[in-house]
Amino acid sequence: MIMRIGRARCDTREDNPDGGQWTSDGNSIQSGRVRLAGALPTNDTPEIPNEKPPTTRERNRIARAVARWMSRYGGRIGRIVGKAYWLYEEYPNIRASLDSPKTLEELRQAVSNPQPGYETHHIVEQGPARSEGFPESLIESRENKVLISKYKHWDISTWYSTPNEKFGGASPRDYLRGKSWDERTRIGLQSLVDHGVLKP
Amino acid sequence: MSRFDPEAMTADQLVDRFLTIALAQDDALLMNDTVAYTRLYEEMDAVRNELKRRPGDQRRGLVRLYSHPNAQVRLKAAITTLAVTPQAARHTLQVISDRNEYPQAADARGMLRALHEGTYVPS
Repeated sequence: MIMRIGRARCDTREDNPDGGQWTSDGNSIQSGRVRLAGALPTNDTPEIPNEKPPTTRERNRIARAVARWMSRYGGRIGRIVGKAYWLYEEYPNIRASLDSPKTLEELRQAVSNPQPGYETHHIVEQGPARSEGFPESLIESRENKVLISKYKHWDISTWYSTPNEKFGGASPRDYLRGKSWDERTRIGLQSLVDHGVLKP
Repeated sequence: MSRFDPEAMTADQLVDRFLTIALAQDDALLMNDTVAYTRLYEEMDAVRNELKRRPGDQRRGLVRLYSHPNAQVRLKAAITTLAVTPQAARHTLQVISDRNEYPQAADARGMLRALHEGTYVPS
């Protein structure tokens, strides 16, 4: 069964700053999936099986696709989760990924009060910093830690470790090898801004 | 994805290959599969280089991907064509950023900033 969350009366964020509202199209129930439809783009919308996927990997893939879609088009999360019950388990992660950007101080303060759907993120990556001899007093300092959405955390980690044209085809992590703490902090803060976590 | 010989392909075939690679990259990002993404990045580089070296710089054939529904396709097409259609490519990056099409919006913002600051010069 495919439940199409239609665009007939669904506004994009461009149209509606409040994020719009999904409306179900009762005539389009076809098979065991929920398909989210959008104005633009239309064919990269996630399909959500009503039955819980057997692997964590697949559940994460679908839940992250839903979170991405919602970050682009808005809408009420309960509408989707309500049609695929297993997604309720991912609700905190999806909801957290939709946070508006916060100030650096807000993100730092939140570390002391962790919530489901969030993870502690080191502005300067802890693994490379540790292996290059930076002191624990810097790596684990209050200034270097922020609480961010789990999915954003994953996105940023992937960004650090994959090749990027902006760095001449190197990964940001490779680019930062041998660089100063200040340069690592600069890149770390930029990545938070670019991923919509930190206010510019 | 099967091995391929860029030199043996037509420009249209290379553009199609570029599209296929970008879609696979998007899947890899969704799965946090950095190994697959890195391999696909290198394969895309081979396509880009082959298009660039052909008479007339055939990278401009990627412009037709600016309107593709997938944000990774548009992002990579725009970055690859910054030297040949700079205004349209920048506009495509700006739209990805403005629409909050994460995670591609992050790369679009980073590239726009690098262009503005002159730390990235398209070639």
